[in-house]
Amino acid sequence: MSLIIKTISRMLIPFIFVYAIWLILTGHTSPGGAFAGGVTASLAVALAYASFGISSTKERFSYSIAHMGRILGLLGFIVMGVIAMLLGKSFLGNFLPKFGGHFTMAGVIIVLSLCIGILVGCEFSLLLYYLFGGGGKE
Amino acid sequence: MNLPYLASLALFSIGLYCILAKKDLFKVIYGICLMEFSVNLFLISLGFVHGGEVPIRPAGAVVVDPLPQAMILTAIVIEFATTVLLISVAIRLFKQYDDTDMSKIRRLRG
Amino acid sequence: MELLIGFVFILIIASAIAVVVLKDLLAAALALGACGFLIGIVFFLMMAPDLAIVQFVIETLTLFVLVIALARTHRRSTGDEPVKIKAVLGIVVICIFLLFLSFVVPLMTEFGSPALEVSRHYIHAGIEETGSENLITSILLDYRAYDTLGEIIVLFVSVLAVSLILKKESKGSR
Repeated sequence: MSLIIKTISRMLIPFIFVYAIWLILTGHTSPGGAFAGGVTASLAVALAYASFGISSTKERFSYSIAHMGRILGLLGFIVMGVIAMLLGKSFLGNFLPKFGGHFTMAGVIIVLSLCIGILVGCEFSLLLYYLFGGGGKE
Repeated sequence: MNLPYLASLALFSIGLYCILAKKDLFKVIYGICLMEFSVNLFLISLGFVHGGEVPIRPAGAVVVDPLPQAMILTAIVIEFATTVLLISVAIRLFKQYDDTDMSKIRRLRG
Repeated sequence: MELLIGFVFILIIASAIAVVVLKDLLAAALALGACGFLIGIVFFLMMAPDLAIVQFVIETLTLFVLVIALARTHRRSTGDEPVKIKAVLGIVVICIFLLFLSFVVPLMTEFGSPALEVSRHYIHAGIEETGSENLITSILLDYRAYDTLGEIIVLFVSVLAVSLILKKESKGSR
């Protein structure tokens, strides 16, 4: 890829990641939410793959990090559900405080948003690796 | 006049014709994508309210129905996973038979 | 507003016809991308900004995957003339399908005034019960969180299937 594309992607990728994290964290007060943030994070990885090739992308964001992100996201989701069941409410009920001081805290929704955001981002990046990842180490 | 319903129906028929009448694997994948687009359009047209507002911190009483929108959000993400699975099958078939034409793939068996 | 939505629908159907008619696979992929972006605009005009963000990003990712897949399979253009009997059969099937649907379409509710039976409770009591101002996030992660769990499992299974289909073959098993 040419020098212009590499320079511009190097500048853009951190901004796309920050936008993705903002979408996840303020999903309960603005348009956005968990899925929008997750797919935007995987879009940043796709931009890195298109500009720099698969081996450089696998060095920074390796298979093990992606697998760990997936598994921790799913485990966090299920653990929150089981804790809600142990506390007497239904599975995946809302048991954290909802309104605190100046801002809305939305209970268990923020934790679930974080889990799903990390999960979906790692998931779609892993899809790209499995589809087109010929080179680099496994 | 139920124009959005008819438009999504027309889109569905175009996708269905693309699956039935074309013999290249990737054209079949495009047809499946068009059918999924038409279903999303239909679902969101079901929930639209004239003069309604966005269901985020609603100020008034007339709000667009939020339940179909949540269902479509799930459907869009699953549709991407399905499309990627179909493309991976097409790439595998190409590696085996060196062609993506469905009539030729049938003839090269054995 | 309704006029604008109608105009965008006409553009969507035009790009869908372009997907079917174009012989070059890469050009048809670009027409599919245009269709998807126009659908994102329709989502935005129908007061659903969450959906518009997700549709735009996923359409970009789909185009990305499609173009690289087309480059890997060395098929930029195809002699894709439709087999005559299959085209005729396709049109016959679609006519039968539309005939059966024409009994149902006049019975549907008017566009713009849905029944809103379940969503009435979500709109009135959603913000106090869940604490989140975004009603769609509260539906996805509090009222219907079990469906979100099902969706995550579908994503897991699809990644597993892709990894099995495109596994590199080891030296001995060819």
